[in-house]
Amino acid sequence: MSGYVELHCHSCFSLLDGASTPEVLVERAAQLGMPALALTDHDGLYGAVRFYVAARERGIHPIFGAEATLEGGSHLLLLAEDRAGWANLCALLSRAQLEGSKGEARLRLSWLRGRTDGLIALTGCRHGRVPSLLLAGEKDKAARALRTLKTLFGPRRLYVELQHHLHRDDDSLMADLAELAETLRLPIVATHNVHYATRDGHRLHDVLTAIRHNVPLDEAQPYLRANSEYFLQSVDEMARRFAAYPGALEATQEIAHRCRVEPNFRGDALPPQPDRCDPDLRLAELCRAALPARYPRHRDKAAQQLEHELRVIAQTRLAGYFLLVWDIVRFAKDRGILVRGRGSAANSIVAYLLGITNVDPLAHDLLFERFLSAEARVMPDIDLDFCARRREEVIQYVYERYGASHVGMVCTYVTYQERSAVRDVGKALGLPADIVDRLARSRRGHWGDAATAPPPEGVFSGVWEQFQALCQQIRGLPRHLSIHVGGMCITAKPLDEIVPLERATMPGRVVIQWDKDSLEDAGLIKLDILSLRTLSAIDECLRLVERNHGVRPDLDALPLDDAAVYEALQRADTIGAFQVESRAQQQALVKMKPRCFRDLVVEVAIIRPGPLQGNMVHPFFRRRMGLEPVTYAHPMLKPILEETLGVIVFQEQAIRVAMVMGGFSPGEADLLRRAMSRHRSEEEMASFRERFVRGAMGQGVSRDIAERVFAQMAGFAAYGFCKSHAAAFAKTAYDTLYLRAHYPVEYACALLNNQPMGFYPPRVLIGDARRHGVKVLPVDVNRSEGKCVVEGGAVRLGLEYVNGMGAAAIARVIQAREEGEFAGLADFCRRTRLPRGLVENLILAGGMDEWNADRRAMLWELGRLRYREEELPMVLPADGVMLAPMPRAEGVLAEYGATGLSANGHLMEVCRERLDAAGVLTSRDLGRAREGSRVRVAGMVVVRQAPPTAKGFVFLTLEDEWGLINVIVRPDVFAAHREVWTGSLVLVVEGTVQRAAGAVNVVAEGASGVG
Amino acid sequence: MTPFWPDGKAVPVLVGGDAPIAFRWNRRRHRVEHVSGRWRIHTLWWADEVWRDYWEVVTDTGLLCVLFHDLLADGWFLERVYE
Repeated sequence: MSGYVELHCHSCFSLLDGASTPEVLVERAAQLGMPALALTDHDGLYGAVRFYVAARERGIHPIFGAEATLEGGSHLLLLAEDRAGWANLCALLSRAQLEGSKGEARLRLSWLRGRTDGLIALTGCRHGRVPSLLLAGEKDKAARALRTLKTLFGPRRLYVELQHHLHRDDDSLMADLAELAETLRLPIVATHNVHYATRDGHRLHDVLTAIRHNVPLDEAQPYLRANSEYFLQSVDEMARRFAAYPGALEATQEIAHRCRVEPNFRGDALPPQPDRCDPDLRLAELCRAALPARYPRHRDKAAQQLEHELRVIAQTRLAGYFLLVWDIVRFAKDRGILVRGRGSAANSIVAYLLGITNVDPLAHDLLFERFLSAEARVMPDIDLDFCARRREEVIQYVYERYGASHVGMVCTYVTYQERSAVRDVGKALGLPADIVDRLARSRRGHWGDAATAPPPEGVFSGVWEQFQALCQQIRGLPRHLSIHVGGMCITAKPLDEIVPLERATMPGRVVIQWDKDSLEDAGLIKLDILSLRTLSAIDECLRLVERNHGVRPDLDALPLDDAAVYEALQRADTIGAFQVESRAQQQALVKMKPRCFRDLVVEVAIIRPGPLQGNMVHPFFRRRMGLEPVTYAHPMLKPILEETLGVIVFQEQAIRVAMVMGGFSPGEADLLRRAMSRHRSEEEMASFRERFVRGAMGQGVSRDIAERVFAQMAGFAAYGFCKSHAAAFAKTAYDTLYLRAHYPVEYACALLNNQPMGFYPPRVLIGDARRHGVKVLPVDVNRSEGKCVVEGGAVRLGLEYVNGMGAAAIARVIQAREEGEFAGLADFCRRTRLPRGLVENLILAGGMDEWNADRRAMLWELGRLRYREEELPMVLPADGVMLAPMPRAEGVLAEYGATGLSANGHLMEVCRERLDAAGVLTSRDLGRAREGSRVRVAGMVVVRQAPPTAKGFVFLTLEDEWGLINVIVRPDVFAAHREVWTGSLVLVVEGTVQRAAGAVNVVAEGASGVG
Repeated sequence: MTPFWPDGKAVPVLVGGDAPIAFRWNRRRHRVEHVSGRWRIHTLWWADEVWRDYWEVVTDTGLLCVLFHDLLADGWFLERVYE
């Protein structure tokens, strides 16, 4: 019996060409009874690891290769036989990518010389050099081209590729190719150049082709394939089509048999230690040395845990990984760069002792097994946050330390989401541009709604159905490759022998063709070197405190029981604090009333999209407040969920529930965790659900309860924090709250100098600082630096807060000032030669009030002044400057215009008198308003949110001179006054007071803007 | 003259397997002696879908002609006759 293995198969990682994921292709091959399958995407191995994982799960032998684009645009199919072939393939593809223009890889035939070991070449599709010459009637040239390939690959590793897609000339082309092969004594092989798993994929393939060429389908005919035959064919069908060439079918199996390499680099991934010392011994030494200082008490318990972890690390051979991370952290600390580890790493006492993390795992019952267990097959992950301004120094160090050829940035795939799908598919189907635009704007991740929506006016129902179906199919397919924010890959062997490289936008940087998941599955080292502005702010705050108070608080040694921190948390007084400042967090804080660090950890973990989607938040808070009893879906869950009142809050708990109730092994549970955190398909989750329910029922749990518990777990899907990660974040939140409570001036200054960051704009931060007794001084051309500074116990705003004041302009002011203070406007202009527009902004910002508080008069004076302006390389904001009388109220407004904030007062003061007269409440009054009473409130709109989980509800946060006001707008109310809600800087809102456990909201019924 | 029907002219066709064996046209029966080419087209699904198997055949009556099997409507049509 003749078998068949597909050796030429494109997945969606042939970007905007292949229409099926590697998983779907594998699944189809399995259904067809194929023992093996190759993945051969264009110019890359992007999908190789996903393909590998899927094939392994389905028991299919995976073959890896790529269809390389040669100079001149012709194609050549390359398959890797062994490790040498893999390395050659990666090196060739890398070179083609790096020397070609971005996104257009070009491989030169000459590069193949000496690089064909372990590679099998097939002559390719119609775009192959040999077939295309035959199609052009150039038999001699075709023979010459084939001979060239034979010289490069030898007679055993070159096959003439035959394809048949029921095109008119397929028969004759096949005959010509077979004849040529015969002449040159080369073997033939049948392939099918697959672009989608089943026939119905051809529509999406056509759409992708149209998108790639940026034309609607109607104009895409020249690029489209003539029929829908490019799907994975059955063995029988291939046998029929190649009946005249039985050898071509046999060759597929022969090649499949020869190709035996897998992208599994476990074991040789780690760079060796510099002095070749034993990594296990070295790690143990470092940890044991650090133990007494970190654990003055509980030393025995710590030592015991340490020895346990060291054993597991030795078994999993990961000491080198820890040392590598330690080395980077040490570098940063030596240079005074603030760094904090997080992620599951915080579960480990080793990481704590090495200074990688600063959360004591013993004190917080963190589970080491979540980080690393002897049976887990995956690399643990450690994420490092660095002070944002200095992260680049760390990256440079990694490059220097391990060599540029061993370090690359991890990629991410930008995939089709609802909005991009609507735009691209709509355009391809030729829907009117305004309709596409409206659809794209109106949608926010509601696939369900879209699928049932009726066609908009002007779109035929047939087209609409196609549009909806295709949007659904394209979702999740990769659209282009991008660079990961901080993921770095470090390898022992040269990187380009492991994975193909591409150009990154930043000169000299390369990005690898795998994302984090692929890297992890290939057993390679990845490190997240991230930047966190909060750390920059903390760093700056510590420096300011040291300068002003002569002490530098040691955050690592900070006791976690500071009363001021918890008082602020219980009042939801958290503006400017890390992680707990958002409106959702504040409302939760009022209910949670955190009393200890443990509470803060839960707080950080629970206000996340994950727990929200699992509907766990409300029960949790009701239980916390004693409004409902703590119950468990089943008694066996009590030990796991007791600490969180019967609710799943942490990822660790989800995993333990899977093990205890669903009977999952630790390995299985880990697979579930990864499936959840990787946004895996619904089918995959369904299979986990089945397994879980079966396991639970085997233990006597009813189906109903088992399904409910699984639904709660799945609610985590993508977003649940692991406890250690939450603890690490909670520690940073604690530190910011501590600094904010005890050094409010320095903290406010540091925050203002590290914008944009967090949830609120600077004007809210200033308002908040002022309410906490911090004096904020306006910009002053004789006193302000570029950044904000602490000046006599107050924060002096920096020149950079004035619109248009860029680095060059600031430098001019500072330099000119070195010769002495400016004596007046004329002196200032003469010495700085700043353009008039900038000087105007400085006046309006109050920067020259010292000379004349009447800013309008100053502007007048400026108008009459003659001086030589020097242009600056910068763009002034287009909005002009208003010339109005300048009493205090308007002065405040002008400051908003020029700086986006005001140091002299709150915008609401301007209209307070009028508002009082109209009976409008302030944020302070609102605190005393009764539940259900009708009120009017007013404030500046500081935050406007419409979370996708909120079903059209919009949440506004208003600020007045006393604090914040939370407003909830129902979808119908929002729609009725859309322009008012979205267009006004200051709103007067009418509505009903809603009080829930200390949180006060105004449920809006109407609004008007204040002009 | 080469009669040509861009949308096909429906003709009765005797089929064996998926191949045409004979057809009636111009009040005459034409038996397929030889298939000189066959191909498949599948496109325009977003407008007016076309999915056809084309057969270029030589008949015992000395015609060279193109027939197609419309796979959507499951009907046979004559597209072109070279006389």
